[in-house]
Amino acid sequence: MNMILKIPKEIRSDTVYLKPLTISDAKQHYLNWLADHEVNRFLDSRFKDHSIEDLQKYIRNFDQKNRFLFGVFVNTSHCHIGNFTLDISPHNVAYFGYLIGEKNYWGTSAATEAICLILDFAFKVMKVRKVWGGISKNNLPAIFNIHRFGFKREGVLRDHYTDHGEITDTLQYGLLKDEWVISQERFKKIKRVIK
Amino acid sequence: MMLNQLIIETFSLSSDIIVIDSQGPGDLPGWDSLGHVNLVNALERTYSISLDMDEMIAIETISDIKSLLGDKGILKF
Repeated sequence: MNMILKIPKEIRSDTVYLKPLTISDAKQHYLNWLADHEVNRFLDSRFKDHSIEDLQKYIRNFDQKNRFLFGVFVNTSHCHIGNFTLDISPHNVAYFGYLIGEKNYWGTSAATEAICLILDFAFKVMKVRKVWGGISKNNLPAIFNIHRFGFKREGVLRDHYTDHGEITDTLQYGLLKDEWVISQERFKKIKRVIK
Repeated sequence: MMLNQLIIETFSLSSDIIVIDSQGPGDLPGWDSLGHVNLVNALERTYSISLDMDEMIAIETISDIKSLLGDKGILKF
């Protein structure tokens, strides 16, 4: 386990930085994301209404030692635009998930840069062996994204997900450290600082 | 519609741009995850084809699109 490792003070790219989320980040904008049908389409959080207290409780679930919740913030404005979770198992494998809640940043480089940062953090800082996640078969933009990052499809959970009444599969994708070393060449133009 | 024009319209590029075979996401403005889904939809609509998920994620360059169209019997693009 990685209990003695500390989170770097700076995890930053050209456009965004990652910062462990605190209860002070549980604000209305975050609630708005969870209530937005475009944002929450592939989030389980869509099944209930949320309050600020719910967000605070959720944030407290993350010990920031093996269970991480990072906010994605814009370098220039410090605007909170999304979140990443990284849950590291005793097997040194990390389950990850993300959302970009501010739709103004959809179609920008923010998500790509933030994914680079979280993968760097997972493999270089936490030294995990593998990062994996599950995606609804209907979430084509996310599938496209993680494919570009070198993730390999490892399995199909049949009829595992409901997408507004449609029952669909969940696809499991995984990325090994060596695969990230290769695929990150594609993103070498993105300057990343982790220190 | 020619492929070059389809790319220009899908990604709202300047009309005088000539896309080249080696270009892919990251090379052309707008070719991100959402742009890619729009591109796939445009290809399906324009060429009356259907792309499955594996074909969709296999597209990494303009050259890949041309190969895919060729595989589906579309020789004029």
